[in-house]
Amino acid sequence: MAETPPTFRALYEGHFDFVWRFAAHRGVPQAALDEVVLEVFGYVYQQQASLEGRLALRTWIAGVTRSIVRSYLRSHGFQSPPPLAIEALYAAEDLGAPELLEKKSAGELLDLILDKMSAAQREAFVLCDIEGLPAVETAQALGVTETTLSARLHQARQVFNAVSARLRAERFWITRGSATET
Amino acid sequence: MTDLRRDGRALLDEARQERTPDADTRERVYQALLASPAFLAGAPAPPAGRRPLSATQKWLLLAALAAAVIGALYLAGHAGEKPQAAKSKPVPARAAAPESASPLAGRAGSGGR
Repeated sequence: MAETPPTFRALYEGHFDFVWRFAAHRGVPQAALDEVVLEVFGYVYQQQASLEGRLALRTWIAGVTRSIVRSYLRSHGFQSPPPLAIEALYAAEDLGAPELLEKKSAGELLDLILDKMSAAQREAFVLCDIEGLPAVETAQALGVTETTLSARLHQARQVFNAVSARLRAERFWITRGSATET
Repeated sequence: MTDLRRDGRALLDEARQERTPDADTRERVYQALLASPAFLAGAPAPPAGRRPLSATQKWLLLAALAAAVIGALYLAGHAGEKPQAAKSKPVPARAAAPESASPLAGRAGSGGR
């Protein structure tokens, strides 16, 4: 049975945080988030007549956001790094000075890690591990099979564990952890 | 499948919370959206092809289909018939000539060696 389409305002309220965070974690600069999120919801508004009966609304919005973010990043010259071997990530020396790292927020630290992932790995990681979308929905939003998604997620988690281990080795993270516990 | 380390999960949760926009941001973007060209143009109506037919339109469509089927059956049933005027015409001599009139006709049956 088809669901009644939500009003646009309710749809906006229900998905705004998700779209904003997805774009931010995908690499859109803070200063451009308004513009990108505006474009996403402008498109959603234009397409709302066809939303009737669409059950997986979040999946569809994730796909729209992904497409608009990709287009934005491409047109503004943002490129994902070439993939590195996991061993190289453990040994990487380009994370920055510990005294500077210590001052970074959790979001900025996460960006350091996400920047080491390929675009495809990053999308899978953000949707599954940060936003908590089920694998089926994520695969649909990214237009890949669940097997492909699983492989990308596996690689992304390896990158995450490797770079976060490097950050931990700089000891600033331990300081942060003890500071938040007390 | 690789699992995330526990402290890694904590970092993700903290970053997620940090990146969640506040109510002011949500409202500011919504107001900008209301003033955007996409919004001012209005939402397009659903495509005509997807609009359901009314009861009258359905009956008219059914009637047209039935008429088309009946017409096609009638034409198929009468396709082999010759018009009345053609029957009264004299048959051309060559076409009406019996098979035996052919010079080869007799040979075919009795042709022994």
